[in-house]
Amino acid sequence: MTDDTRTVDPADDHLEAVLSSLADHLDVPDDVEPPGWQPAAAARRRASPRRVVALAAGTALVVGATGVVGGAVREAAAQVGEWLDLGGTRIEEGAADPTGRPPISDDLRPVTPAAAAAWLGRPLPVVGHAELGEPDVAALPPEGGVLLGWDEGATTLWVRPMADPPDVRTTKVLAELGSAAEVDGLGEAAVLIEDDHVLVTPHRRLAAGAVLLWIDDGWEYRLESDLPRADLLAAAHSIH
Amino acid sequence: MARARAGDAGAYGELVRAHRASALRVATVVLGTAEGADDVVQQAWERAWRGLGGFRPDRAFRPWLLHVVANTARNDRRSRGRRAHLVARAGRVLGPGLEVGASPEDLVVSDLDRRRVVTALNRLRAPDRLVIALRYFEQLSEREMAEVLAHPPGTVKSRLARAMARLRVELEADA
Repeated sequence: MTDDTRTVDPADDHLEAVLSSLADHLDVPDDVEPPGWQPAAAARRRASPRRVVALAAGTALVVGATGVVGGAVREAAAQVGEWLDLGGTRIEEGAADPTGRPPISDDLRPVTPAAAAAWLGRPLPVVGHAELGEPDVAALPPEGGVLLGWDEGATTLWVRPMADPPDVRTTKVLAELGSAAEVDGLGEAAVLIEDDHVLVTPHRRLAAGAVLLWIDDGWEYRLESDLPRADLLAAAHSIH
Repeated sequence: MARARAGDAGAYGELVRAHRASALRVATVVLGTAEGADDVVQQAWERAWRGLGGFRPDRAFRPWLLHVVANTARNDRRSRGRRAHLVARAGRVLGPGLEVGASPEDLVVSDLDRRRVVTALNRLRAPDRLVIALRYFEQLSEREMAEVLAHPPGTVKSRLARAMARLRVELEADA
């Protein structure tokens, strides 16, 4: 009889045994059209409504690792009434009132700095800005990545690896898309949002304030703080 | 394989049917959900059929097919923006709707264990889930994983180590 009260010990061979057993237990579709497909069926799938919708969405403006959020780009975005993408973060217009919503620091699982670094597979980012220094807490948000927190200015730094396509798409809902401003000289592309807004993830709808987003060398950074704008920018530039 | 490469659709059907379960698991892991995995596998089979002329017969077929499946699933996820949500079934699945009682392996691994690990897997990125699945679900060697992922074996080894480290951190945080 298996002891159901035991937790999975991540440090021993038991984890590998559990993983190996999952092949026979993973929920996958019970049926798939047998080989010997009909070309007509393939054509029907290609023309299915959801695929057409996806193609239409794909024509929208995307600013990722290869792009910058320049004035002309933002103007084009406004003209087509679409969105901006920065890594796995989409910025769009909508119902942006954050009243009553929790902050990003809500519903986290605290971990040791060593565990946080292990999750990232790299040393934790060091913030050289004098106002912050060593983080007061490290935690895992449900959306993945690592979140570092400082009491000073209710500051949080969310770091997550980039993926193509993004593993978790987060959406920043702003009252006006034009309030997202390009920031030069920070990573490969950076955007500053100073207005209060709503952050939507697959898991949560959160209140968000002044925040700086940037992508750099395969990583996405999100620095939110009540600190003055100059300190927010200085803190971001000090990260190494 | 020779008959399939010569255009025998029936022979190709037998070939891919032998790897149907692996293809469905890889598609599910990359998509993050079982929903649509059958459609992805069917598309991958079609792509692989069209690309069979480029397949080198001196290579193993399974890693090549899973490479096509993983790429097809990745493209599908890119277009649909899926949310990851794998689910572990209770009982051993032999085929459509079939389950049997506890195996010797089930005596040391409980369904609760599996649910906990799947919950942690759901928090990982798709590339991390895939490299773990190739190693532990599909029992591929590093060389075979390298063929599926189109990365050097050394890179695959480090990616697996990093993914397992993340999985352990997620489990520790849940404990």
